[in-house]
Amino acid sequence: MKKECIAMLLAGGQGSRLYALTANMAKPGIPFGGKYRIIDFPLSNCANSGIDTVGVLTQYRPMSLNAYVGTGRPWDLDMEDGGVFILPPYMTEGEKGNWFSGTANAIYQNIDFIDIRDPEYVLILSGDHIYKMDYAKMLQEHKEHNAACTIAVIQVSMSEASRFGIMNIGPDGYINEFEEKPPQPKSDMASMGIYIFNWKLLRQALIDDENDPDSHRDFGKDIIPKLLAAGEKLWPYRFDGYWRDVGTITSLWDANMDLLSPGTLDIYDPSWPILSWNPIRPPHVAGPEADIRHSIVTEGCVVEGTVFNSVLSSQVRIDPGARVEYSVLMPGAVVERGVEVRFAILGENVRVCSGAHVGTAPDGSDRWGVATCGPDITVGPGALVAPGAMLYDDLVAKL
Amino acid sequence: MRNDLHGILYTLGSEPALGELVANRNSASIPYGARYRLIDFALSAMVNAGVRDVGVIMERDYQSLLDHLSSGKDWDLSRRRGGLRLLPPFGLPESHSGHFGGCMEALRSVSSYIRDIQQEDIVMAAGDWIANVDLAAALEVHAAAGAGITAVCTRENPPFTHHRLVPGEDGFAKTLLFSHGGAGEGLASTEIYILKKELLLELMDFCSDGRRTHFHRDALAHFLSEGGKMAVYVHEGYFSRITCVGDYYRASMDLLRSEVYADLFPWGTRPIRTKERAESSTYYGDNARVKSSLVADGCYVEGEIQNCILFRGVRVAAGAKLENCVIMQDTVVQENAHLKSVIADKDCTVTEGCFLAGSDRLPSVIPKGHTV
Repeated sequence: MKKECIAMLLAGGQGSRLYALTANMAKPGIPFGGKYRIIDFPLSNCANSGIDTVGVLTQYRPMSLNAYVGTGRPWDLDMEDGGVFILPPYMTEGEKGNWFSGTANAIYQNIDFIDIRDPEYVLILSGDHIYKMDYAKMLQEHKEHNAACTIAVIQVSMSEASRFGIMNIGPDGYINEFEEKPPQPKSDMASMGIYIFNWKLLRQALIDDENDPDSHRDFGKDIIPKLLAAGEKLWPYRFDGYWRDVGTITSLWDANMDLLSPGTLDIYDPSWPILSWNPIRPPHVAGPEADIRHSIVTEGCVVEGTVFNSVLSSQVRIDPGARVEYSVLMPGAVVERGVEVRFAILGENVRVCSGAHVGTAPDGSDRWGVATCGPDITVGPGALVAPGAMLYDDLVAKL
Repeated sequence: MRNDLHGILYTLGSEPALGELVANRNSASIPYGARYRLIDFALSAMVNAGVRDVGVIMERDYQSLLDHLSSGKDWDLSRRRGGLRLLPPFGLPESHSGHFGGCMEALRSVSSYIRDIQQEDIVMAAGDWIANVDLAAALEVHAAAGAGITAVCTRENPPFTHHRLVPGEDGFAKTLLFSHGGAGEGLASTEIYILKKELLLELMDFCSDGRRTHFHRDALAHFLSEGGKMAVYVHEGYFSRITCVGDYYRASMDLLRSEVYADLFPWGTRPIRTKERAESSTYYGDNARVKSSLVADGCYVEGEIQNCILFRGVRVAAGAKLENCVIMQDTVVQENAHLKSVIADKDCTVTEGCFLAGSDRLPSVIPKGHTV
C-alpha cells in the first residue's frame, strides 16, 4: 500500500570510537540508560510519530542488532501493512554487489525497497543519537515550506560548531549554505543528521551521485551541497530538545549520567514512551545493606552494596561491600565484594572480582578518563583498571 | 521441546476473605510480587514445561484476567495452532446461577473443549498459588509411574485449609484427607494434577450427576476407592496459596527473604512470565533510602522504603517513609506520608503527610483507586 512517509534508519556504522564496546556489536545495539539500546530512541520516535514502515540498514557486525530489532514488536512495527525491515548489503547478478560505501550509497542500494512503498517523503535517520523528536511535526514544516529537503538542526555553542555540519540560514529562513566541520563557522546551527526528502527528488539525486566518480556517497558531504547548488529549497527544522551523539566513550558516559539529572531527557513521560524489548526478569532486589542514591536500577538486578550516581541495566549484581559510583553497568555485569568501580563503563557480562578497583574520580590531569571494560571480560581479584583504560581482554592482578 | 501435555487452569471466582483485593478481580488476577498476577506462576510453570496449549476456565469477575492474559503472547501462547484459549462459562444451562459448585462443574461447563483436546495428558491447576513448579519433572514421574493421576504435593504445611495425600509404601497415594489446616499425616496437595485425558473424561462422566461437583470430594475420592493409581511428585521449593488478606501479606513478605526470591526466580531457568508493560528503569533520587525491598521498573523513589514491594510505576515522594508495605501499580505516595504495614492497591494516592499503619498480622488495605 502507498505510504506518505517511510523511514530509513542508518545503523551500519561501526562506532570505532567506542573501541571494545563495539568490537563485536554495531553501535546502535549498545545498551543505554538501563533499559534501552541506542536504536530504541529513533525506533520509539518513529512509533510515537506514527511512522509505521522503517528500513534498518545494517552492515557492521549486525547479528545482535538484527536479533534485537526482530519483528519490531516493542515499537508496534510487527504489522502486515508496514513494519520494520532489516536491509543488509546484498549480492546481485553475476556475483556482483557491494558493501554500503557511504550513507547515500546505502539508500541508493535500497531504491527498490522504497519504490515498492511509493512514498511521497523519505525520512533519513541515524541509529546513534539519543533524543526524542516528533517527526510528524518535522514533516508538517517540510510540507508547509514546500521544501525539497528539510534538515533537523540544533543550536550548538560557537566553540563546538566546527565539529558539526553547519547550516547557514538566509534571510528568507531557508538554508543557503552547508559547511561540513568548518574551521571558521559562520553559524551555530548544526545538522542532526536527520533529513526528510521528497522521494522523487532524492531518488534522482542518489542516481546522479552514483555517477559522480568524485563523490563520497555521503548525505552531508555530497547530496546536500549538490541540492543547494542546484537551487533546491532546503528548510531547517529547529529542534531545541535534548540531543546527544553518543559516538565516544565520554559522550556515551555523559548521556547516561544526563538521565540522572532532571530537566535533560525525561524518560518517564507517558506521552512519549521510549520502547524496548523487555527481558523476562523478576523485580530488582535491594538487599538489607543496600544504599542506592541518585541512580537508575533495572529489573533483574540484585543490589546489596552501595550505588551512587550510576546507571544499572538488567541483571546487574552488586555484592555486599562493593561500591559503584558515577558508572554505567551494562546487562549482566557483576561486581563482587570489596570492589570499587568509579567513573567507569562495564560492558555486558563483565565480572569484576573481589577487591578489584576500576577507574578513579577525576584528578584534573589530562590523562584521566572514564575507564571502560569491554563485554564478557573478567577483572581478576585485586586487579586495578586505570582511569581512562580501555580493556579488551581479561585482566589479572600483577603480583 | 513440545510435549504431550495440555494445560487447564481454573480461576473460579474469589475468596471473600480477600476483601478489597478481589473487589474488581478474581483471585487469579491479584497482583503479586512487584510485577506479577497470581496466575503467572501457574501459566509460566506450564509454558516452562513445554506445554503449548492452555485453556483458562473462568467463572466471574474475569475482566481483569482477560485484560492481563490478552492473546497470551507474553507467555508465548499466541499461536496459529493451539496456544491460549480463554474459556468463560459458555456451556451452562439457562437455569444455572453462573456460580460453579466446584471444579468438576466448571470442567463440565467446558466439556466440549476437553473432548477436543489432542494431547494424551492434561495438567490441571488452580490459578491462585505462588511457586516455581518444575512440571516437566512432574510429568517424568507421571510417565515413569504409569499412573492415571499424578499429584504435585508440597512438604510445607499450609496454615490454610487444604487437602492432604497419604502415600503408601509403594509411593502411590492411598488416602485423601479433606480440608486440613496446618500439619498432619502425609503431604499437602498443591491441587496441581497431571492426569490422562481419558481418565478425566471418565471422572467427568461419573460426576455428571449434578450433586458431584468437587474434584477432590467426588472425583478423586471415587478414583482412589476404585483402586486407581495416583503417583506423587513432591515440589521441594516454596509453595503458597492465597485465600485471605493475611495469606497475601505473608506471601508478599516471604519474597523479601533471599532464599524465597532465589527459589521463585532461579537465575537463568524457568522464568516467571507476565504481561509486558513499557517502562523505563526505576529512578532513585538524591535522598532516597532503600533496604530489603523488591522494586519493579518504572518507579520513581525519592523517599525511604524498607521491607517493601513496589509494583511498576509507583512514585514515592521525598520525605515519604514506607515500612513493610506492598504498593501496587501506579500508586503515588506524596511528600512526608508515612505508611507501615499497608497494602495499597493500584492507582491509589496517599496524600501529603498522611500517616497510616496496619499491623503485621492485619495490614491496612487501601482499595484500588482510593485517595487517603
